[in-house]
Amino acid sequence: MEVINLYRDKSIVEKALSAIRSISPAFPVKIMHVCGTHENVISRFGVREFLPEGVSVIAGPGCPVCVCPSQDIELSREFALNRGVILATFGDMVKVSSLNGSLSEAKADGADIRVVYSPFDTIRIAEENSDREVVLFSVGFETTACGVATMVQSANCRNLSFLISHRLIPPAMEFLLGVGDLYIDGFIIPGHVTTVMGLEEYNVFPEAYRMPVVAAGFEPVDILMGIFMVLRQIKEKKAGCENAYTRAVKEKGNPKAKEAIAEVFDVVSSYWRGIGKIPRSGLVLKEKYRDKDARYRFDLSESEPVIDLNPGCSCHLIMIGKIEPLECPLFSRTCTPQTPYGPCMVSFEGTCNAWYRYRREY
Amino acid sequence: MFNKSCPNPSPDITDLRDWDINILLKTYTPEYPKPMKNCSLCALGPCGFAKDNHGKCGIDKEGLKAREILLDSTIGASGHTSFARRLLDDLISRYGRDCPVDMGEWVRIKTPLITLIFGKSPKTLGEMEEVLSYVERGITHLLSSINYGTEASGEDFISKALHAGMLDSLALEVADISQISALNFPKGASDSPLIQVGLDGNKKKPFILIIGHNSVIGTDIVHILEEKGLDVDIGALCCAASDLSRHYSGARLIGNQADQLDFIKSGIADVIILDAQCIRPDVINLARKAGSLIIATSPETALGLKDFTTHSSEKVIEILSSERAGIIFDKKKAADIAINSAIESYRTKSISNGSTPNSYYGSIRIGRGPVRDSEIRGVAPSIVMGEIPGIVGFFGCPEKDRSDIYKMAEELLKRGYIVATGGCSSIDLAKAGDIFKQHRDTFDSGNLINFGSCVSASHLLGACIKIASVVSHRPIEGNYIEIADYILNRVGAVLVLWGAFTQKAFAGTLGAVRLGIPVILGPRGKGYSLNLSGKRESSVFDARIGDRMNTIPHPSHLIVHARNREEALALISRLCIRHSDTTQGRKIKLRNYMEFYKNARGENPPDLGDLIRTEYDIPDEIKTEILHILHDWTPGWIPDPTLLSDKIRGRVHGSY
Ligand code: SF4
Ligand code: SF4
Repeated sequence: MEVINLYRDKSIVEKALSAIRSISPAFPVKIMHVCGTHENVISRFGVREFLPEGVSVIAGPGCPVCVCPSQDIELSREFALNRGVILATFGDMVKVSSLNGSLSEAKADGADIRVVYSPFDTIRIAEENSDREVVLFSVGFETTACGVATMVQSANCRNLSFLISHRLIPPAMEFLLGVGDLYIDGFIIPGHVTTVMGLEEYNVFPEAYRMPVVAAGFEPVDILMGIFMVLRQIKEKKAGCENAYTRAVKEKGNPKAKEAIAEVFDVVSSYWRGIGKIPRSGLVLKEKYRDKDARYRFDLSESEPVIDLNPGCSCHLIMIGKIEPLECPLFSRTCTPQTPYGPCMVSFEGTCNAWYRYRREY
Repeated sequence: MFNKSCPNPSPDITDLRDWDINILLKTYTPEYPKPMKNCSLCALGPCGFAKDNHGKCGIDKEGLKAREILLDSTIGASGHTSFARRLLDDLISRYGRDCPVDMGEWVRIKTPLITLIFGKSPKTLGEMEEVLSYVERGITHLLSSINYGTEASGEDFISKALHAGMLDSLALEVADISQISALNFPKGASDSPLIQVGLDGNKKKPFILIIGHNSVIGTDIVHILEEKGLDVDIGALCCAASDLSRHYSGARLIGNQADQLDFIKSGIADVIILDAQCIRPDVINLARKAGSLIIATSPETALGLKDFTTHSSEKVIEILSSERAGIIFDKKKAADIAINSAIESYRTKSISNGSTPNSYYGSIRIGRGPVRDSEIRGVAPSIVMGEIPGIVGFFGCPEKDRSDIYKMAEELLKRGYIVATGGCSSIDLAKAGDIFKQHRDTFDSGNLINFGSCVSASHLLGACIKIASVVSHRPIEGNYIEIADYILNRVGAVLVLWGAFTQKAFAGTLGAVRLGIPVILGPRGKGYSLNLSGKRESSVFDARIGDRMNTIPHPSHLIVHARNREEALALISRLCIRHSDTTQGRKIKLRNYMEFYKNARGENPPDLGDLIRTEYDIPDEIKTEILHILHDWTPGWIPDPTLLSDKIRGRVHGSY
């Protein structure tokens, strides 16, 4: 508890802010983070309001619920509604809509959908319902993928299979650098992802794109440190991959966790909602785990993603950091956490949701 | 230089000259491969340029050569525009001005080129007329610039020629979108049916052969046959064939322009209907000798024949049985007369089996029309990141040796390129083997897409516009320069016009080039009068940091011709390279280029140092070897590329 207080301590925060002010350049700087948890901390503690004019922190595609493509949600609904399975998934996934509705609507229509807090809870559900098929609809980035990988390796329930919709962060960052008109000056990367994966795979950003990258933790001071280190690189006109979260992140990450991911998953091109199919950005179960792959077990493949977002929704622009939530005409009017119109308003990790909860200027 | 808040709808002939002259021609040098020794354009001439540097009117050599380019491209653009106008008139007369532009539910950006250039998307065929009026006005002004004592600057002539090319692409889109909408051609669905190309020699029915481009005469015939329940075979050559097959599954797609002579001579046709363009000038004599009747239907191709348009059908049938050829501009009437004459002729004429071509080639997918939004979302990031190594369009006129285009397509498909085709080139591919059967036609890596006839080349340009729009979210309405800059720097697409020899193909070339899509011409390409080659001393802005990066341009050429297919493959892979390629994308492209180049020249390409930005770009398996070869190479970086200074964000803080 004391350690956490230290990272929220007013005097330390003020020191960090003054360090940021002292090195802020005269020109505008745009730093992108790619993590829903970072957005929550930034919004909750009003980090943006304390930054010097010209330094902006924008959210990228860091919310796993938001980027989960509508065709995967469709598929999960198909499992739940028409295949008689128990569909287990994480909390916010039940609220996010595809074009035909959400999993909670499917539940209202009689589907058996269970919310789990850890993927391992699904094992218990499978054991308690040995006469039924149980499917874990698993979304998330490298951190969640690592937990699911160990579960795939170890779980022995014959009635349990996986609908995998995991995404990888670095390819999405690389894509964003080619999008154009985004003018990103540096990245703050999520501490939990880098705790698992390490920093090596991020070296390409400074070395090939001259793009500063800093791994940051999840307390206000962590994030301010991340911002400071990016600004310092810009000021010193050098780009590197730095670690502002040394208490958790190691250069090589967690080798065991990485091994598990590599052993269980193949890397494939995958859809990101509102963005499109990004090369090398998704995971699927390896062939040797086909029997645990719900798509194969039930002989279902996703349909073509016809329309990804509802008309008028600006989530695709939010997810790539092109606009901020206040620029979406629907924000807080037709679109609220109670009545989300776009996926970014659904989850706790969604940018619009965080802005709605913590920002009061609308 | 460019006013962001006021993009340019319906640009006048000089409105985009900043893009042409201050950007493209600063990056690419025009070369004129065709010698221009004299000019006899006006009565002051002829003027010899072998010794003199100026004509009597004062025009210099550069201006003279560039004026020729404008003339060629305007002739070509007028060909497609005139065709589009006739087609639109015919469609409106049958389906009305209110006939909606209908691209089905899967295509959101219905008219990418029209929206980009004209500034808005027509909702009906009637509104399409406004677009064509804009094109026609532009062509008139461009032609006027060629008049004695008008334009004189070489750069302005090139800029105007590029404008002609752009208008040409607009006419192509008007034509295809209008016929897709009115005649209910496929609207972007993949898995299009396969049909056989060619004809068996066993003639069992009256046979009508259509040569040309306008799909309306063919559909009129089909509608009459269906209505009256008549059993008459209908087949077509060239674009008429591609387009008729998009409407009527019973139509025979006999072949392309290259087959004209054989099929006319064979006498298999009881009646030959001529439309306009790509028609042999000696068709009348050949058909007469072979015993086929000729009906010409286009005012552009009257061929010295008598006009029977106002005669009664009965009277015309009677006259034709002795005259053997005539004009009927009313296509419905022509369709009716063709059917009756074919039935009558079949009854009375006997042909020797020996003279009938018996040629079934491979199969072709019928033209599927535009690329769907969902397909664009599926490939756009991979294209911009370079991880799908490129989009290669094979269009243009046919070649005698079809194995070249076939083998190129096969090789590219194997390596994951998206290969798109249409018009005579698609028929060449089908005639050379079963390549369509072997590949799916979803717009995706390793697939082969037949868009339709020549006018469907507009869908390739349209797909590039859609990719730019989907990835960057830049508006496209009247935003030509920003979108062209995006395509040039980030969308690895190349157009290959392998057998190209017409002015229309030249206009098409310039239309692609202005939009940032390089064009490779086949061996005949040297017969055209322009190459655009990248300047060594060139640069691109990194929009993120405002740095100007000294680099050779990517693509390295905008117009280039290849002497053989090995050279063409090396060029294709080279011209798909873009500044925005990720390290993984560049690795893939580099590997392809090195292999193709080695195959063509037996050695490593000499320009590797220009293509490797950092060590991350080098394929792992050859890293040591390549680093050893590179001399005087210093690592650079991957920019956020643009040629437009206005796209640089406010801050410019210099290099890291
Ligand atoms: S306010 Fe709603 S619709 Fe608008 S971007 Fe946010 S989530 Fe999407
Ligand atoms: S246009 Fe000029 S160069 Fe050509 S013939 Fe006339 S005077 Fe001579």
